[in-house]
Amino acid sequence: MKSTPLIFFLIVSLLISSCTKDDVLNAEADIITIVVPSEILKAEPVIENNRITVRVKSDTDLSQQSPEFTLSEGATISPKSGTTLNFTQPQLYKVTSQDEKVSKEYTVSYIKSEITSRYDFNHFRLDETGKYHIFFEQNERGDNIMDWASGNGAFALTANDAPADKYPTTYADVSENNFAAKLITRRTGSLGVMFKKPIAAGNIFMGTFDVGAALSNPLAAVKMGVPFEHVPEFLKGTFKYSQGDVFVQVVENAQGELVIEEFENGEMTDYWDIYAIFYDNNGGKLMLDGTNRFTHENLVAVAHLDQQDAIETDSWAEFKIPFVPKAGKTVDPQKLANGGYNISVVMTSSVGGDFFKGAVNSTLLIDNLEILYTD
Amino acid sequence: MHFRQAALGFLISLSILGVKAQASEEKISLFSNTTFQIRAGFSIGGSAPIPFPEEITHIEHYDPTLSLGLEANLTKWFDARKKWGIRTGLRVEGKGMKTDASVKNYYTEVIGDGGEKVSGNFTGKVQTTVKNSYFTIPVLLIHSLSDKWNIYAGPYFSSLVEKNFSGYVYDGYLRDGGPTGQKILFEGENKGPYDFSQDLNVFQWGMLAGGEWRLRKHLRLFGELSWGFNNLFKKDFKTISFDMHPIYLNIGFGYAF
Repeated sequence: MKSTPLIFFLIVSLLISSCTKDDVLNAEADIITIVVPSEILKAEPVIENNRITVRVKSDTDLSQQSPEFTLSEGATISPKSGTTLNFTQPQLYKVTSQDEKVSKEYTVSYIKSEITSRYDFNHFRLDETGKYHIFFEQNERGDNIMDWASGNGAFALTANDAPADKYPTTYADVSENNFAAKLITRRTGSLGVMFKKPIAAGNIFMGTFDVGAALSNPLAAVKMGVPFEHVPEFLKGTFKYSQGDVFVQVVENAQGELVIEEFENGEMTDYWDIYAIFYDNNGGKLMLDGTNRFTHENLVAVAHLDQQDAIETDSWAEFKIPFVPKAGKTVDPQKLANGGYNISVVMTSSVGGDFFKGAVNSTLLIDNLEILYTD
Repeated sequence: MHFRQAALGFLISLSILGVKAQASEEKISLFSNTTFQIRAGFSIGGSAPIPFPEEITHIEHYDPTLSLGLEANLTKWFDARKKWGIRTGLRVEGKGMKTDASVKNYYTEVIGDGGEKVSGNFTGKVQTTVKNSYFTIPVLLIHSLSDKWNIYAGPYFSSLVEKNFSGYVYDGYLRDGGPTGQKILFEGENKGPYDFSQDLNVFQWGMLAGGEWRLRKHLRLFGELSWGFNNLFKKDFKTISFDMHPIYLNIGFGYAF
């Protein structure tokens, strides 16, 4: 029995010592990169969890494209990487993990139509998990040419089983077959309170929302911009707005701790906000985000709603905001034609939403959005 | 099945105690040939998954932490020469550990920095802290090998009184819902805490075996291994996909009256 401790140590060391097991087969099925000839690209391809959007120049022959992919370690793809396919319609690819236990479908779209400049928010669908709404824009042929981005993907993580119309970004009926974007500032629940992020403002914008980065760096997760081949002059549209009753904010107290404050009965005023940025995208390589949207040196012009015009109204009101050029910035027509400039329009139901400040149930409806431009 | 075995063992131990209680009226016969001991020791070990799952690729760091235990026991010897006997008692003991492990495709549930409760497959690093305290009743068959040596073995039954099984994931990413889900990064300062303390099984049982050595007339040195037979977590707890078992080595001193 003297050997009992010895046996034990052997077992323990077996269990806890470096039992490296590198032979575990990979369980993931991701497309990590897509390679297409750089001369046809207008912007870097955008890879999301289930879809890839490739914006290409207008003279590109979409009927014969052979994109190549790199995948998760050991994963396989069908059709094979490099297969020539007709991308006048989006193509489906299926990626299977190395352990062959899971597979994931990607929709790969080549888009050569430039984005439109009028947005009626009449087209939306549920995301691939069926949890929330995504607005999208179509061209005359009915092809999807742009998805509107929102923070719904992050809200989905806290939302448990909330129905899509309880998300911060959803739709509202205006009349028969006519809809508007509806942005509502929502509470994020008890866990949100625990982590001092008590609210989520409704938002919608042109660009992509990187859910993966949303937890570690919410501002950087908001990637704003799609190529736009005109010089914008005005941003106009119609809206309705009502403030929520309980204003919530997070402040630092004397001990340096973050505390949540709530104000009722209109002690604090909430405002909605809309702005648009137009910037040089460095040949498709640059996306501005929440950290540098108003400060980046590549900005060419910015349109921003004056806060005193962010009024409450329960009948449709109009706004028309000029793009104010940045000093010393000019637009290069050649670059403009090649998709060298990005635009992004951003709307929110609470102006302080980036910093988790706003009134619960502040509701913004937006419709008939339009970018007016000169050519 | 396990529960039935455990219950049976528990009944046996109760009946032994009962017999002793009954016998207390005949004090002489009860305490004749009975020895008492108090013990203090510490335990090192861990709550280990058995078999070791492939999702855990590497243990980066292991800290047994300092877990102390106190025990009072009595031994009823069957024969005058004190060759064979049965021992039981009451023990208050801590069982803890702290580990850092690298995992791949490890299913868990974390709370994100924004309060998001996310479950899915995590690849990266996991820190786990276990700090549990138990009331334990061992029921042991004891055999004296020589003047110096006693060995013993038998089941033990524990009730959880203080519980903590928590930690965080870091330096990696979680796939929301499963391996094909949305990737959520936990990088740098951003950690995903978890706390499964409420999911711990209140009842634990297992086997214990060890030996004690007579250091002085009253002083004993002991070492023993305890191995938990039932899962550390409740039956309906599915977040950790494998069973975990407490395996500990207890070392300490005893004072024999």
